[in-house]
Amino acid sequence: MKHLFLRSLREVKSTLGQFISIILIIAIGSAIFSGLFSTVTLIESWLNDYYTSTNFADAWVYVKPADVDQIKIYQNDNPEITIEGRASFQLESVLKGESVTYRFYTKTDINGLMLMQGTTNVKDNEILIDASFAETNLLELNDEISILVDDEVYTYIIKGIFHSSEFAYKSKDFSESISNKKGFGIIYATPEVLSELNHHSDLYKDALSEATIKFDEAQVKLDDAHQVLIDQQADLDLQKAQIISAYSANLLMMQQILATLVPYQKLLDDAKADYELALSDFQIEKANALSDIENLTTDVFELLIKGKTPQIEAFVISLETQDQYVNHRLRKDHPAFTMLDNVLSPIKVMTTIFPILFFLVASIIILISMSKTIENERTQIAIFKALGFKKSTIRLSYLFYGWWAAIIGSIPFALLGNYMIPRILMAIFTTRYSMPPVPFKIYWSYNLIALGLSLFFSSIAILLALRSILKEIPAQGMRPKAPKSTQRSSLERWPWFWTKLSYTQKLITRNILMGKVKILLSSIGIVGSIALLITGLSLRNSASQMINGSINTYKFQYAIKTSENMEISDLQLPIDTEIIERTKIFAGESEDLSLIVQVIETDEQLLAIKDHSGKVIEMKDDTVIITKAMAIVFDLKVNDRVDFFIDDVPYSLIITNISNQYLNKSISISFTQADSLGLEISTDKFYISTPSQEIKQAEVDTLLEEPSILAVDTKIKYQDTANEVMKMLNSIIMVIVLSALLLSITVIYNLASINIFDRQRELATLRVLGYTVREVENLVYAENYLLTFLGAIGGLPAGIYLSQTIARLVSSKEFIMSGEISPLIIALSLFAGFFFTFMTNRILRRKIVMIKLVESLKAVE
Amino acid sequence: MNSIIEFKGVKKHYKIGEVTIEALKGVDFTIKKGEFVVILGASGAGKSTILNLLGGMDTATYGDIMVQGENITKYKDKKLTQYRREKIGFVFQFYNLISNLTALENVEFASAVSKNAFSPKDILAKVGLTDRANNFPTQLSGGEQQRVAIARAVAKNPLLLLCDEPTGALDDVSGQSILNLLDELNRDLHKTIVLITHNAQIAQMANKVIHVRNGLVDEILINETRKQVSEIDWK
Repeated sequence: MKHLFLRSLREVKSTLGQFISIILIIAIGSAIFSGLFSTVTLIESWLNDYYTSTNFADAWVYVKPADVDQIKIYQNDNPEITIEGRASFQLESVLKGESVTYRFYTKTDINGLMLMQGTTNVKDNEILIDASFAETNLLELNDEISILVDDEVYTYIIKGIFHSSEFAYKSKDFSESISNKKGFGIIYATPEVLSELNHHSDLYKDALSEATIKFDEAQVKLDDAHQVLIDQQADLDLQKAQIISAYSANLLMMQQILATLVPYQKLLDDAKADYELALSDFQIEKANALSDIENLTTDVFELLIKGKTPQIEAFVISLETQDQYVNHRLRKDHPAFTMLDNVLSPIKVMTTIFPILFFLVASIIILISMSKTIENERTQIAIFKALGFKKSTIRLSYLFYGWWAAIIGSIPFALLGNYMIPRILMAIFTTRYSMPPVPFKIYWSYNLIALGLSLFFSSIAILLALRSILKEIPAQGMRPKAPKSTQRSSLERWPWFWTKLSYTQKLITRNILMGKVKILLSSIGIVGSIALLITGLSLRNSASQMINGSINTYKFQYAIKTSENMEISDLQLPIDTEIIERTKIFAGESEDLSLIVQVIETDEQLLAIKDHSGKVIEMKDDTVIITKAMAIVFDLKVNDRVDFFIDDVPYSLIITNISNQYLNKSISISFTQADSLGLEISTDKFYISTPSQEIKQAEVDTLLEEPSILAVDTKIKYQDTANEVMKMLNSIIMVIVLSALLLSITVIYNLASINIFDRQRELATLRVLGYTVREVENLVYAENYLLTFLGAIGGLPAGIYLSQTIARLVSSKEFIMSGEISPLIIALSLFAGFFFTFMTNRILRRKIVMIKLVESLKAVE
Repeated sequence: MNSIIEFKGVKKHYKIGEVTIEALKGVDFTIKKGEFVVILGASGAGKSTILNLLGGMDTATYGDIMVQGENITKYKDKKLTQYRREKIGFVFQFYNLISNLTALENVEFASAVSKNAFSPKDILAKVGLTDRANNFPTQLSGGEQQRVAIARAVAKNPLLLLCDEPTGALDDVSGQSILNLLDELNRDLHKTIVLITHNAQIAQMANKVIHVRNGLVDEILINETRKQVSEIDWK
C-alpha cells in the first residue's frame, strides 16, 4: 500500500500540468456547487427567520373605515385569527430638492420592525424611518424631516432607523416596476401624528366638504322656513293691529273678530315649535356628522392578520356579507414574500445546471487524461499483474491519483465557494431589496457533498479508463499494442470535395473522425461554454433592451410636478425651455394585474416611444400603444382589444402599436382619447426639454425656487434606478462568461495537451520532414478550432434553450426578459468561443516548441 | 570530386542532471557528392548522434559541420528547419509514417514542402508500391512501410538521404530488398546516402565506411569495389 501511495504521488509529479487542470475543474465544480447551495439555504433560512422574528402578516385585509371598537368586534367574532388595524397616510413631498413619497404607519405587533438604530418609542414630533431610505438619502438619527401639506409645514425628528420585512421590496404603487429605495420612505409614527396628517387626506377633506355643502343647504332651508314663520307672524300681527284700530269703538265686536285669529296664531306657534325642534336636531346631527368625519382621521382601512388561510378566507367572507370588505392580499401574493421566489429562482436554476456541467466536464477530462496515462502505463500494469497484484490493488493505485485531485480541488475551493458566492450573490440581491445584513454561515454538509461528488466523479472516470486494460492478460499487456487501424472518412466519398483539401486538412479530418468518442466527449465542454456565452450575452441584451426601450429613449431633461393641476400656458418656468408636454398617469387593472395608463400628448416628442424596429411611434389622437412587457404578459397583438379598469370603470381599446419596452405593463393614449373616454385629464405633471439638452443642477434649483413647482425629477434619476437592475444582471453575466472562459480553456487545454503528447512522434516527424514550428502549430490549432466549431454546433441550440429558460425564470411580474437571441449575439458568442480557443492555442505553443525531435523519434512503437 | 560534407572536430555533450555525457569527442570526416557512406559502430558508439547532427535534428557542442560550404552548426532553428526541408531526406528504423495518411499521401505530404520535388507517384512506382499507394500504413507490411518512408525521403529530391538503421525492424528478406532499393537510388539518381548500422555486412555495399567507437572515428575505409546486395553473404 505504501508503495502504491508513493507511486501515485510520483505520478502526480510527472503529470503536474494535467493534474493541475483536473484540480482546477474540480475546484470550479466544487466551489459553484457549495456556493450556490449555500446561498439558496442561507437565503431561505434567513428569510424565514426574518419573517418569523418580524411577525410577518399572513394577510392584509382592506375594509371600509373601522374604529377600535369595530376591530374588537372583528377579533371577538374570529378568535382563531389575530387582527390588528393600522392607520396610514401617504403624501408626496420634496427632500433635498428631489421628489419623494412618504408613507406613514402606526406601529403594530404584526409586521413588526427590526430596529437598526435608535429607539422605537417616539413622541408626537418624532418618527422612525426605514433604513434604505435613510441610507440613500444620507439621513441620520436626530435629523429633521419637514413635510409641507396644504401649506402647513410639519417637522419631525428621526428617532429610529429600521428594516421591515413587509417593505423588503419597496415599490410604492403600480407605477413603479423597480424597487424605489431613495424616492419612497416608510415612516412609523404615533397615532396622533397619523390623525393630524389624516386631516389632509383626500378622504377627510372630501367628506368634510361634501358634508359642509349639505349642512349649508339644510341651513339655508331652515333659515328660509324661519323667515316664512317670521313673515307670517308679522302678517298676523298686522291683521290684529288693523282689527284693533278698526273696531276700537266696538270692543265686543273687536274681541269676536280677534277670536277668529286665535287658531291661526296657534298654528303659527306650533310651526315655530317644530322649527325650533328641527333646528336643534340639525345642530345635533351636524355635530355628529362632523364627529364621524373627524373619526376618519383615526379610523383604519387596513387590517393585518395572522392566522391560517381558511380562517382568513372565512373572515373575508363574513366582511363581504356586512358590506365592509374592500379587498385582501395573502402573504403568498405580497411582493415582499414573492421576492423570495424572484431571487431564488435564477439561483436555483444555476444550482441545477452549473455544478452538474462542471462535474461532468471534470469527469470527462479525468476520463480522457487518465485513459492516456493508463495506456502509457499498460506495460507497467501488466507487470503488476505478472507480479501477482490483484486488480483491486491496481485500481486503488490509480484511484489515489483521482482522489488526490478531488481532495486538493474540492475541500479548499468548496469552502472558498461557500464563503464567496453567497456574499457575491447577496450583494447583488440587496441592491434591489431593503434588508438588514445577512449573517453568513459555513455549510459543512455542502462542502462534504462537493467532496463526495468530486471523489465519485473522479473514481468513476478512473475505473472506466482502467476497464479494458485490466481485462488483458499480463503477456498481452507486455506486448506493444496493435496500432489502431485507419479508416477512410465518409467525406472521401465525395472526391470533388476531398481532393480539394490540403494534406493538413485531410490529416485533421481523419484525426477527428478516428477519435469520434473523444471528440464527442470533449465537445461537451465546448457546448457548455458556447451555451453559457449565448446565455450571458442574451441576458445582457434583454436587460439593455429593457433599459433602452424604456428609459434611454427619453428626450426630456426634467419631469416636474406642480402644486396644482395646470395647463401648459399657465406654467411659470424660470428656465429656457424647448418643448413642454403634459402627462398623466392612471392606475389600472386587468385580469387582477395592475397596470399603468399613461396619457401623453398627441404628436409627443419627449418620450419618443419606439417600436421593435427602433422606429419612433407617431402618437395620434386614437393611437393606443401597449408595452412589449404587457403584450407578453397578456398575450396581446396589434388590433387586439385590451380591456382594463380604472377605478372600477371598465374600458376597452384596440391596440394600434406595441412599443419596445420590457419594463412596465402600461398603455399609452392621447389626451384627446382620454378625454373622450371620460377620464379627468387635468394634470400636474409635465416633461420639459431645454435648448441645451443637458441636465444642470442650477436649472433644477431654479425650478424648485418657483413656488408653483413642487418637485423636479431628472432623466438621470430614471436611469439610476434602471442601472441598479443592470448592475445586478452584469454581475450574473460576468459569472456566466467567466465560467464559459474557464470551461473552454480547461477543456481545450487538456485535450490539446493530451493530443500533443499522444502525437509527439508524428509532430516530431513533421518537424524533421522540414515543417516549420508554425506549420505544426497550425495543424494542432486547426484541430482545436474545428473542435470549437463542432462544439458550437451543439452549443447553439443548448444556448438558446438555456437563455430562454433563465430569461423566463428571471422575469418577474414587473419586468420581462425577452431572452431574444439576435444574430449578433450568436456571432459574438462564436467569436468569444473561438477567441478562448485562440488564447488556449497561445498557451499550448510552448508545448509544441518544446517537442524534442531526437527523443520523440527514438521511442519504440 | 569535392567533399559536400565535412565534420571538423565535432563534439557533442549531453547534460543529464549533474552528469555530462560526451557522445562525440571530436569527430572528423568528409563525404563526397554521390557517395554511399555507411557509419558502423556498436550501440552507444555515437553513430546516431552523428546522423542527428548531420540531419539538423540536433546541434553540436563544439566543432564545425560544413554542408556545401556552409557551417550548419551556426544555424538557428528557423534555418535548420529550412535545411531539413530542402536538403535532407530521413529514413528511420521505425518508419515514422503519418498513420492517418495513405502511402501516396505520406509521400505527397512530405514533397509538398520541397521546391524541387520528384513526382510522388513516380517515386512510389520506383519503390514498387504503385498498387499499394492508397493503403494506410497499418495496412502495409514493415518492408512496405519502410519503402514508403524511403519514397517519402527521396521524393523531396534532397541533397542527402540519411538512413538510421533502416533494416533494423525488418526481416532479412525485407531488409535486403530495402538495401537494394537504396543502392539503386544511389546509383540511378546519384543520391548521397549516409546509412548508420551496427551490421558490418552492410558496409560491403558502401563507397566509404566510417567506423565509430566511443564517440570517436576509429577508422575510415574506402571500398574500391562496392558489392551488390545480392553479392553479400548475409549469414
